[in-house]
Order: sequence, then structure tokens, then C-alpha cells
Amino acid sequence: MASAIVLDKLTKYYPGSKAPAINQLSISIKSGEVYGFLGSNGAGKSTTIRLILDFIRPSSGRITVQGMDSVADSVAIRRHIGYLAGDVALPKRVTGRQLLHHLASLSGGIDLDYLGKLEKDFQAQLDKRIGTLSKGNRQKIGLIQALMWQPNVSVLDDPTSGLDPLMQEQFYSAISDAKKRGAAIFLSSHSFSEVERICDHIGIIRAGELVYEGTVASVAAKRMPNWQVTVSSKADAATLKKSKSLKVSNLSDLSLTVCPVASISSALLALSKVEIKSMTIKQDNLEDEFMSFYNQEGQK
Amino acid sequence: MFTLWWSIGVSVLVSITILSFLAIKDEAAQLNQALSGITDTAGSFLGGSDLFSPIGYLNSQIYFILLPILVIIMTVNLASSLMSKDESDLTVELVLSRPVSRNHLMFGKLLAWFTILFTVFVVSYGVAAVCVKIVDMPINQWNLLLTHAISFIFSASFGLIAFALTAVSRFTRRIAGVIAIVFSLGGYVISSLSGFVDGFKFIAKLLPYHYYDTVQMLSGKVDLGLVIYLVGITAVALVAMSVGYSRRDIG
Repeated sequence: MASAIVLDKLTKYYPGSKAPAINQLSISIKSGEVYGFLGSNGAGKSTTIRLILDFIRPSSGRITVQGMDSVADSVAIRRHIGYLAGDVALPKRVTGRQLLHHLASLSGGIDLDYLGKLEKDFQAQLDKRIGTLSKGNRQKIGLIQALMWQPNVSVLDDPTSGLDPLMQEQFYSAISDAKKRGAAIFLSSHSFSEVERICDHIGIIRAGELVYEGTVASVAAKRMPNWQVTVSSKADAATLKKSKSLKVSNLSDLSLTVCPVASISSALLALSKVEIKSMTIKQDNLEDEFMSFYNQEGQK
Repeated sequence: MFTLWWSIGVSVLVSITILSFLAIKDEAAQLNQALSGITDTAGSFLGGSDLFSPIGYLNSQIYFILLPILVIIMTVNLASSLMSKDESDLTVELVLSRPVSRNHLMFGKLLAWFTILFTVFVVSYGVAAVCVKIVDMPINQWNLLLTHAISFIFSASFGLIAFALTAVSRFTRRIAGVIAIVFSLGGYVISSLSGFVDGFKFIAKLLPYHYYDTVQMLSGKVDLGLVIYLVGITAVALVAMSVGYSRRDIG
């Protein structure tokens, strides 16, 4: 399937800063794919998103959206994009409906039936002034304005921020529908469970550089399990620590966290040589994977 | 609300000032004679030493300094607000995420700025024209319209400078209002002093206030230097804001 968004060796320096906010970032997102973009605060997620939307200009490198250049064809590109900013800023004096109709008039109109569906699904309060709404209700309006175009490409920065679990489900459902329609979705999120649930690919960005990219399934496959083991004596604990097949850290004298170094079978063989009183498997998740990348940075 | 309050404010000040002429109308000649000893320096800050003839009164009390200062503050403030507010609170991203070009957005704001300015001009001119009739000033209405209009356009040119500086780059955006106000009021002070301080004579010729002669305008004439400045600054500002805003980072 064709790439809907391509970031090619993208670099961005902000004026007065010697370090790049984004450094040689290359990402490709296909139509019908949901791409989760993870990173700590200041890692470069929002800068990347703002480059895609052409709010800021790259120092070098190039972005194409549906084959069009993000700078030269920015107006044409925006006919195909739905965008939600992180911590969405909306004008406070107008109602949600007035805002949505104004935005629709800038884009040549929208499908009012679909807008009505989104309004109903998200239980949005479109007839109250935005300034009187809670953060969650403002976020719903932000989401509706991003989704109401039924765009080919959606760029969403922390989309479920402030939404209750019920509305998060509605959002996941809307993303699922968009994906079935063939839309490409690029979203940044702080929720690992959300990314694991709805994304096909993930990219982890650290200090402006992509440090990991792969499918969510591949993250799960490469994980080595962690076992929490309680042994019967200090001698057994010492035996495990000496084993070259295991990476061992103490929780207490007899309680250890054990992780295979090379293979699970050789690790089990090493464990079989001591008397184990209890053993539990700790399930790693995407958050652990994410933290491992950031811990590597701390050890450098 | 901005338009309404500024229209009311400017109109009230203009009307009170013109209607006050009734109190001195009959003693204008004697008052001018009594103040003939006014220093040239003080006179130059008021636009001349004739303070009480109908033209001298309108010049010194309204068109030389009061109206320009009010309109400069209004237009600079409005320009900075229109260009900066949605960028600082990031609501500009909502509009720019739609198929709207940066220049389309910027010239839309410029049109809003001009519309507000034009509304305040129309209201305040209407009030000034009526008040001039009430106090029976022997002023040609066309000349009054010309002076009122040029006074607004001249003052608005500093707002346009603020508009352009705000649009050109993120750095100049922060200092646009200050530069426009300093350029306008500094120009007024230097031009007023240039008759007495030799060092200011050349600099004054480079400043727009030097060519802003409202006594001439109330007599139906406009200095060519002022026309050249107004056309030139408008052209430079439009080109600078169009090029700058379409290239710089937003937000």
C-alpha cells in the first residue's frame, strides 16, 4: 500500500538553539495504518507534528503527505488532513457548533450527517460557549473537528487526553472506522495501553532521534520474560547470580528478579539447579520497552 | 466592542475639544496676540504658534497631536493583538490546519484591522463635521475631511509598521509595538525640536512627522513628502509581511 506520510531525514533547529529539536528523522506511514509516536516531554513529538502540518519549517529534509510536499503544497495537503493539537486550544467565546461550521466554511463544507453522528457518539455539547466547557468536553470538540472531514490522513497529538473511559472507547471506534476506510493515522500518546491497543506500528523518539521503530507485534515478540523467583537459601541465590545464563537482581536476600540473557531454555536449566520456593512471571508491556530505551540513555 | 469603545472615545474627545472653541471663539484674536510671546519651541510641539484661529485651533488641539496619538495607540494595539493573540494562544493552528494559506489568513486580519479603523474614522469624522457646524467654524468641509482622513492614514501607518513587524519574524513580533510607538512619538519629538537643534535637522527629514503639516491640510494642501512616505511605507510593509509571514515558523 502507498505511503500516506513520509518523513525523510527531517531535521529542525529552533533559532538560538545549537541542538536540533529533530535530527535526521525518517518515518513512513502507509494508508490504512495507525502509527503511534512515543517519547517523553520535549523529545520532539509535537515538533514533528507541527512540521507535518507546516506550522514550522524544516531546517533540512522533507515531508510528503499523499505524495505532496508539506511546504510547497501545504494548502492542498490540508484538504486531506484532520488535525488535533496536543492540549487543544479553542476560541472561548463561540459555541462548538459555531466553531465547527466556521471551520467547515474554510474547507468547502462537510457531511452534516457524519457531524451529527460524531456529536451523538461523543455526547458533545456543541451549543454551549466553549469557554464554559470542561477540559474533557473541549477535547471532544477538538476530536470532532479533527474527524469530521473523514480525512485520508489524521494527525492527532495526545487525542484521548481528558476523555473518560467511555469516550476513549468511542475514539478507538472512530479510529477503527477510519482505518477500515483506508486512512493513515499518526498519533502521539502518553498512554501505552492505548498505543498497544490501536496502533500497528510504533516509533519511539528520544532527544529528537528515532531510537526504535517496529510493529507492536514485534515489540511483544522480542521481549524476554522477567521472573520473580524466591529461592530457599542464600547459597541458591549466590548460585543463580554466578550463572552466565541469567541476569539477576535482588529484591531481598531470597527474592530475586531473574531475566534470561540469551535463551529461555538455558535460563530454565540454570534455575533447575537450585530449589525454588515460588516463581511468578512478570508480563512486560510497551511501557517497559519504552522505559528500557530511556534507561539506556541514562546509562550512557 | 473594540470598535464601539474606540469610536465613542475618539468621538467624545474630538467633540468636546471642538465644542470648547465656543468659549474662546470671540476672543481668538486677543488670545493669539496675548500668546504671541509663546516660545517657538513650545509652538513647534503644538504644530505652530497660531493656537486660536479656527485652523490654528483644530491644528493645535486635535489634528497635530491629540488625534494622531489616539489613533497610533489604537492601531498599534489592534495590529499587535490581531497578529499575536491567536499565535500565542495557539488557536491559529485550528485555522491553519484547514486549506487556508498563510497569506490568506494574514490579509484577512489586515482587512479586519482596516475595517475597524475605517469605522472609527467615519464615526469620528461625522462627529467632527457636525461639531464644526455647531460652533460655526469657517472651515471648508472637504478640507476637514481631507485632514481627518490623512490624519488617520498617517497614524495608521505606524499600526501598519507594527503589523508588518509582527508578521515578519518571531523576534520582531515581540518588539513590534514598542518599535512602532517609539518611531512615531520619537519622530514627533525630533521633528518638533529640529527647528532649534541643528543635529536633528537632517534626521527629522527622514522621519514622517516632518512632512505632517495639518495647517496645510486644513487649507486643502498635502505635502508631497507625506504622500511619498505613506505610499512607500504601505508598499514596503505589505511586501515584508507577505514574504515574512509565508516563510517563518508560526506559533
